[in-house]
Amino acid sequence: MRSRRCCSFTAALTLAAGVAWPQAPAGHVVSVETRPGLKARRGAELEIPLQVAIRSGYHINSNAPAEDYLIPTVLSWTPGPVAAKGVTYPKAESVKYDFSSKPLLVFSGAVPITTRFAVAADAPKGETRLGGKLRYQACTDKMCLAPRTLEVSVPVTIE
Amino acid sequence: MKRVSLAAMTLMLALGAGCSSSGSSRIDKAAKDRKPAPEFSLADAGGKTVKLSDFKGKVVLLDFWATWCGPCKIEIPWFVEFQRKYKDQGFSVVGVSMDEGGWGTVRPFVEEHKMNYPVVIGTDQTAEEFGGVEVLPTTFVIDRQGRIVATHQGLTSKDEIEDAIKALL
Repeated sequence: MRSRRCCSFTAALTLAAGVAWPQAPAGHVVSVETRPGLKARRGAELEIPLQVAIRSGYHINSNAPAEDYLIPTVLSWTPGPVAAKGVTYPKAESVKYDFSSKPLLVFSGAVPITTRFAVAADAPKGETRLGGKLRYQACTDKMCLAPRTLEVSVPVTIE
Repeated sequence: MKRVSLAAMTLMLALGAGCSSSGSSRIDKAAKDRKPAPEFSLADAGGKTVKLSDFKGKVVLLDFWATWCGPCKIEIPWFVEFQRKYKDQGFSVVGVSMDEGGWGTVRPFVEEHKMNYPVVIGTDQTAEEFGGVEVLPTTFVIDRQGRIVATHQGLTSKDEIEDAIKALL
């Protein structure tokens, strides 16, 4: 339930061009997909969209929850020659739950998250993988699951 | 024996009535089927060791919760009330926080919500030993012999839990 446990639950997800996105393991209520065949030029910028799918009936906190005690959704990327410059989250839904005096800002259903990358002028040509982590904490209106981290690996061809 | 059977029957009826309205509940119907609750030894906010066996002879409501768990915040005021109402009859709530942030996170919450019962911070091992607690809140109703009578996953109705406690007291 705490960090060590969360690590044990972490699923390695591989975003491979032309290959069906693997199902989230049993117990995961969030899965991630991206567009296959991503290419970028040296010295250019690249936008990578991720489609986060949340199981029906569940929500995850937005990247900026309305209450300090809530665990935000965070997409982070490993630094490298293709470096993340900014993550754009969609507008959150404002939903009132019985346990909170004010509406909370949450994501549910299909959630598009876009990351802008800068490709270094001397980045090695060929296929590389961008490694990321999506940290989230899911609940229904009746219960919550422990915070979890999905590992994301996006193949990109540098030209 | 007769008293135990009656208590079990009352508990079955009380808990069975409310199961569909909230989270899931598992009720061990007969006393002979109840399994002993696993022992734990965890520190409270003052550093004092709290063991589940310290409560043997009492009815215990063991609540796994976290500060980031919204539904848990609905139940906690009920548990504060139960502690006040039934403490003198041999009852105690014990809260097991599953927060990663430790007492720095948990202590302010305990104070803000005026939690009047023992609270400890659980570990992965604690969660595993109680059958792998994956959902919060998860509450265990434990009889005076230290056996698990009922397990509730998710938000449960207040009446359901209170009836279970009263049936065992």
